[in-house]
Order: sequence, then structure tokens, then C-alpha cells
Amino acid sequence: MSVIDIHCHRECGPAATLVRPEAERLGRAPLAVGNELTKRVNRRQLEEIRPKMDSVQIRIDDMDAMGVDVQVLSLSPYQLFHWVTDGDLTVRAFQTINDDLAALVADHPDRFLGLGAVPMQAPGAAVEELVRCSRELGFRGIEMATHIEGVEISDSRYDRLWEKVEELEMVVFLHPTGFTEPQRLLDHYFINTIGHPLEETICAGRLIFDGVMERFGGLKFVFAHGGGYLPMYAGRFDHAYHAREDVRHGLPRPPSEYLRLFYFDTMVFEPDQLGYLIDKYGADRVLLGTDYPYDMGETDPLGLIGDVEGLSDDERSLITGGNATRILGLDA
Amino acid sequence: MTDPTTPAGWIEAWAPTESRLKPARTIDVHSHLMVAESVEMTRPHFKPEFEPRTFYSSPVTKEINNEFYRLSTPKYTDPDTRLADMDDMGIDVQLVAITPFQYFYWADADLAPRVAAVQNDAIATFAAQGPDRMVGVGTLPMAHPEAAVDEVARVAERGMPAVELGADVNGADLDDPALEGVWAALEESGIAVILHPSGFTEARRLTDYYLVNVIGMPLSTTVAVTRLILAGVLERHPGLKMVLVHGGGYLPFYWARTDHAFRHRPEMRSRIDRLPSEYLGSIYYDLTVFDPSLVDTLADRFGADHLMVGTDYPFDMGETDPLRLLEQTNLTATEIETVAWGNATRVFGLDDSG
Repeated sequence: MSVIDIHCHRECGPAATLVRPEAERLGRAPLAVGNELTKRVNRRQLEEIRPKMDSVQIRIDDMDAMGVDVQVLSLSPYQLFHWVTDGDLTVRAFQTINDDLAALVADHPDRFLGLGAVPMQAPGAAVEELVRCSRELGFRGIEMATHIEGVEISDSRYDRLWEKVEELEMVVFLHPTGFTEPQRLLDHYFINTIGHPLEETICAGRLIFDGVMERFGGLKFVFAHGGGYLPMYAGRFDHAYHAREDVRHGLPRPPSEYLRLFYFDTMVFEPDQLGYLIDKYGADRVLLGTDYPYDMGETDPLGLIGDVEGLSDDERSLITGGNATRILGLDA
Repeated sequence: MTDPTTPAGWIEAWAPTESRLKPARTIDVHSHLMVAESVEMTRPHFKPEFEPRTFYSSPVTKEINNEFYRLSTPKYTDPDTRLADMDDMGIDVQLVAITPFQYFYWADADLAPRVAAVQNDAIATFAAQGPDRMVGVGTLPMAHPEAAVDEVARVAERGMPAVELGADVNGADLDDPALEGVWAALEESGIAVILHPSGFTEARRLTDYYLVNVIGMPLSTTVAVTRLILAGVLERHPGLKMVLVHGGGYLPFYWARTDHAFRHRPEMRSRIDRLPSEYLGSIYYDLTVFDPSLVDTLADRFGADHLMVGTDYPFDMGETDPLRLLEQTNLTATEIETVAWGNATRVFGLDDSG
């Protein structure tokens, strides 16, 4: 069984070039949230990891060092250009992202798979690009942000997209880019360390409470960072569901039952926390991830999984590659 | 237990425990009362944006909460109603603290100290109506640190073992240097802190499904405690006794991301040299977490000697059967006795004779 990394990133230079004039016009800068130290560290990091982003050989060497056979690549989330409003530019930007990724995968089909990106700011175009990702580019899934410029992805405008995702049996890898309300998260890199797990918690909560998981039970959502806080602290959601009508809102089953329909990556850094996730949700729900090549990544994913107490070889094999193989349909 | 699905149903939810396990004695460190007089004092100065949790709540949430408070008021204000519910739950002693939306931290420098004094008098009077059953927890005018330091002394004079503090002060974080004197006064006097959030200030995305509370509460504690750790407040005040409600929010269950960032990025390392998670081992946690696996997670990581029974009585986000929760955990009989009684009496310095 191949070791498959479901959570790793690459940048798309051509798409960034394409939207740059619009970014400058709107004053959008990448990774611009945080105090001055955070901005400085992130700018330096982008320079330091440039070789890993640009050189396929360095990437493959790093994969070999980590024991990763296949990277399921997704775009660096800050390049999900959902702030672009011009319809034509939007479509071209996401086509560029996906074509660029498909070309890399085609060059190294035994080492890379791709997760596409779709223009969520234009739901109709997103459906079209989703179909193109599946049928023309051969992607088995897409990456998605936890909100689209403040709009929840559980919003009804995306119902047609979910229908199509379900029909095409694609995986949706959810990756946040920091909390929409960053005022109290500017120091200490909270925008990432708290913002990411918080966004995942809100996003998963809305997918559950807004009924997306009830209506589209076949969707395969994979949450980055182990799903953030919610899977680790689900008791309060269930209690509120039983206690209050404004929480239940007609939902037929308690939140934890829908939570079991999600998948989570292993990016929680610590064997006890990973062990809790596996115990609670099952070894068939957890997938190896690294967040390569960022400093908030895990450089020894097999070591982390190996340190979890009480796992059988079969369970470990599911987590390191079996689950990814199954939900991406690689065994078909 | 009736299914507590409505404000009316919730009154009945505080029913006899279904636990077969009966610790020798049980103390509940997390419960609330209301002080009507402090509401009257502050009402003329109130603006909706002062209370973000309510401000960002959906109309249906506000409706449910109004109905809930209308029906449940006796539980917040009448000692006999409370004592009967404690009997049902198997709670021998309860720490009683102000309801967080009555912190009134937004009151001005003249009003806030008077409000805190009135509340503390009322809390002491309330607790005195069940002298062996209730222990009053004080409140401080945190937006006015000098007045807060003065009130620490008065809390000590009243013999209160703890103060309950919000997780932010009108949106300002607790590591604000202006509060340094308050932490020093609390440490010196041996008065414990029960840190209790009042929702998160930036709650625009938390309007529906009561997420203002369901996510806002643990999030608010997470931000507050992580800052107290990283800013060195806990390092500078090692004698400060800190008790977190709701099991401490998210951080005790998801601390490794913070440790990883501490190891690999400079932003967190300006004030402390030890890993952030190490400080979690000197904090105490209540058990209003609603899931025995979360109790076990806390016990495995921080030790059963760091856990205390909490109910959040009489809120609908409360744990109505804390003994049943304990019974469902992996804790040993000895550990359960410690969690039910010994930890709290030790940390709060209560007379162990009961």
C-alpha cells in the first residue's frame, strides 16, 4: 500500500501573475493578516520554501525522506483567489490553477495527484470547472476554503455544486486561511494556531446544522488539521442540540452523528490527540497529511502515526494510504 | 429525565441523578446566580453592543433565552429552589458566582466599583442562607484595575475563596499590563480565579444555532488562557490558582498546534521559555464537557488531581447529572472521590470537615 499525503501544497505562479494587476488595484497582499512580526516571518518563509515550491526534484527528495510515495497536491490556500470579482478573470484564474496542476501530475503520475480548485465566488462557473476537473483533468477531488469571502459554504447557493460533487464522487479537502474576524487574533500567530481550527469548527458546524450533510450524505469532506476543535470537543455541540430548539432547527440527528461522516487528516502533531481522533471516529476516517512545505507542517508523519498507542497494522495502513486510496477511488 | 428540549422542559431537567455512584461528598465549583439590584444600577447606561454574545445572537435565540430566564429565575435567585436541585443532583456544596452577563465590565469608573461591591454583598448574603451548602464567589470591576485590587481585599475580608473573572474585559485581553496588579493581589491573597467567558467578542459568524455560546465560550477561554501563558502572566505569578470552566475550552484538547508554533516560530517566544502546554499542568479544569471521553482526556493529560465537578447550574448549557458523567469515565473510585471533593477543597482552601 502506497503512503499517500492528502494535505500538502504547491503554489501556482501563472495564476498569481494573472491576478496581480487586480490584486494591486484592490490592495490585496498575500498573508497580510497578523502583527508585524508575523508578516515578516511569513514573508521570509515564502522565500525560504521557494526551492521546495519551485523544484519538483527537491519535493520528491523530501517525499522520499518522509516516506511519502504520493502527494495529493492542493494549491496554497492563500492563492484561492475568491476575492476576484470580474467574471472572466475569475474563470481564467481557476482554469490556470487547474491546468498548471494537471501538467505537473501528468509529468509524474506515480508521485503526484491533484486536487483542483473551483471559482466559488461564481457558483455556476464553479460547477463547470468542477466537471472539467473531473472529466478532462482526471482530478479525484477539489480543495476548498472554509468560507468564501465570508459566505458559508453551506449556503444554499452551493446546493447544485454539492449535487455534482456527489455525482462525480469527488473528495472535498477543506482548508482554512485564518479566521474572518482577526481583530483578537493578530498576536502570537493566533490567526493560524487558533484561526485555522476555529474556521474548521465553524465550517463543520454549518455543514451539519445547515443540513448539507443530511441532504448530501455521500459527500466526502476531508478536514485539514484533524478537523480543528470540533472533533476533539464535540460534547458541547451535542448537548446544545438536545437542549435548545435554536440549535436543533429541525435537524433529525445530533451533530456527532454527522461528524462521523467527515474525514480528518493527521495534522495534530501529537500522538495522544491523533489517538483520540482515531478512537472516536475510527481508523477508516483519518488520513495522513503533512502540510508540506510550511513551518506549521509535520516532517515525520509516519513517526507520528507510529507513536499512536494501540493501533493495529491494518489500522495504520488505512491511515497512511488505504483510506486515501478508497475515497479517491484509486483502486477502481 | 425528561428530554430537556425547551425552556419549560429545562426546568425539569435538574432531576435526581441516575448515577449509582455516590461519592462521599461532592462540591460543584461552577454555578451561577443573578443579582437584580446590579441590573437596576447599570440599566440606564446599557448599550446592546456592550454584550457581544447577545448582540450577535439570532432573534430566535434571544426569544428562547428570554423565555428561559423568565421560567428559570427562581433557580438563579431563590436559595431553597437551588438547595432542592442540589439534593437531586447529589451535590453537597456549590460555589455560587455571578452570571457572566452581569459582569457589567462596561460600567464607568464611578459605577463599576459600586456594582461589584453590591454584587459581592448580595452573593455573600445569598450563600449565607445555606451556610454549609453554598460558598460565595466574588466579582471584580476588571475594567478599573485599581478598584479591582481594592475589591480583592474586600473579597478576602468576606472570606470568599475565589473570584469569577471574564475571559476578556470589554474586548481587551487579560494579559493587558494594566491588570498586572490584579494578578499580583490575587496571588498574594491566595484567592483563586474561576475564569468564565461570556462568549467571544468577534461573533459575526456565530449568530445562528447558538454558536455564540456553543463555540463562543470555549473559543473565548482558549484565547484568554493562551495569552495568559504566552505573555508570561502565569510564569510571573506561579502561585495564582486558575480554574477554567467548560473543561478549559479548546486548548486542553488541542494544545499541540500551539506547542508546534512555539517551537518553530518566533512570535510566541518573547516572554516564556517553556512550552505553552507545560503551563496547562498547573491549571484546574471543571467538567462541564458533556462527554466522558473528554473527562478522560483531561485526566490522562493533566491528572485527576486537576479536575473538579462543575454543572453551570442553572443554565440550559449545564450538566444536569455530573455524577452520572463521572460514573461513565475511566476514573478509579479513589480518583472520583478526589475530583468530587478533595481537589476543590484543597485549591479553594475550604474547611475539609464539610
